[in-house]
Amino acid sequence: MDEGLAGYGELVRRAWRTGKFLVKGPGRPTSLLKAAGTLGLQPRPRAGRGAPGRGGEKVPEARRSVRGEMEEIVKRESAEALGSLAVHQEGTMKLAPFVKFREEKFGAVLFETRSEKVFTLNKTGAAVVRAILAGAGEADLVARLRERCEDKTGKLEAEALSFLKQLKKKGLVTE
Amino acid sequence: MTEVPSVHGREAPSLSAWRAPLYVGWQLTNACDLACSHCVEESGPGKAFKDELTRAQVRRVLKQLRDGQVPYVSFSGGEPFLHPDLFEMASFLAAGGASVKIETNGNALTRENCSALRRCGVHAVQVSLDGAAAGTYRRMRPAGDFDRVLGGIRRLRRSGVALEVNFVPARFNVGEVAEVVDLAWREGACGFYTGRLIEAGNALKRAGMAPTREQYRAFFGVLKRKAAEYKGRMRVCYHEMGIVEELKYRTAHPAALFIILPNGKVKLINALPFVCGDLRTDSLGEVWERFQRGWRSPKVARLVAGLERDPSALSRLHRWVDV
Repeated sequence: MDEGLAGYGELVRRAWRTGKFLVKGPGRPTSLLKAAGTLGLQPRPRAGRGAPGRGGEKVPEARRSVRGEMEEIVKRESAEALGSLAVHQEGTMKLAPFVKFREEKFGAVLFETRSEKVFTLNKTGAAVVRAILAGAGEADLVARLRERCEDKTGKLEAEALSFLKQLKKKGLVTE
Repeated sequence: MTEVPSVHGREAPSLSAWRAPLYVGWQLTNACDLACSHCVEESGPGKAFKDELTRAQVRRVLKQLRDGQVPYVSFSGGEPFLHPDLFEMASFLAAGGASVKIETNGNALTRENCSALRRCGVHAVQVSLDGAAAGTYRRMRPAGDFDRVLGGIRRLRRSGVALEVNFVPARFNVGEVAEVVDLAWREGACGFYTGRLIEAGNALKRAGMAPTREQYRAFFGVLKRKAAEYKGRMRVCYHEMGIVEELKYRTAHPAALFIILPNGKVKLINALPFVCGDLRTDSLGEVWERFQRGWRSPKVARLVAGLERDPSALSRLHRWVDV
């Protein structure tokens, strides 16, 4: 994690410890709790089905649970922020919006969730998509794959580039 | 790379190849602010199940879906906007990388709610619109307000959330489908979805609701033309298969898709009564294993085989049976 992102993590933790949730910076102060609310957190659950009441015995437990959630979100946001930094490097590629990737025993799946089209990938295909997610550009894709995969048939370059062409043609990968 | 024609396509790998479902349809509550003539779930005001998931149980299910990397989750109901935690749930899954879709009657698409959907990262909202005019619409959704839904749709588009339109055909509205497709396009929809009326739930209680064979023939003819007309601009998706055919197909080719009921029970498929687990007590992994076994159960095969002789067995879809 880079320094800025580590700093963000520390800021969130300190805010949680001290109860001071206002982030000072340019523009209006932002409530971290308000921001957290948009990320699926309920720092102070509303009364309702199964919700702990305000100031009730379950609040410390709720605070612990929320803190755990915040930690996870900081980790995830940091990873996403790093991912988006990689995307902005010239020549790199990324999965198209709404395309989801999941590794499977047989390789992986790409799921274009708007058209609900599912594409199954073998292990080599999965390696190509992993390299793209890690920030590979077309120019260094093959080199990155060679670091990780054995090229027994000598066809790795041709196959990887042909597969990449298919991914782009189907709109699954964009630059 | 192999393209599987759909989530439940014939060429899809067998269920055991997937480590978790690819698609989860989660019915958040059985309560609804409308009581539609066709509703398979027989939802309506005051129809929430007594044992719907608590907030803590919802959180546990959410975490399991996120940890299982389920890529696509749709929230429906009942009416999902009646669930107090809808936005938090959507945010949580979207932040974890899933595509989240909401299927709604469109009554609650206020400016605030539309902005919240945008902030949550919801990828699309599917709104039911079963007529091109207020009178037709109200026959399908007696407590519904056509203009209010259209207003909601416009606010949704202004907020930048993708819109899909869902159309349920009945004898009295099937002739308006072309106009509804055009309306969907004019209102900025990216997709239009329809199929045959599912003759279960409320639809079974109303004689003469299903379109006739001739009406269906004309209906699918119109849809075919509209799909060609809007190709590349708006997806016009329709399933010509009837529910019995669909269930026979799905028994042979089950999809990596399951349905979570408002109380955490998990069904193999919405139109059948079979339940393969309970996410209040079972892990996603356990339910996923039972889901795979469930589709091979002789109980499922027997019921589906009998549907051709007696389609009324679909009326028992809410009398859950464990598999």
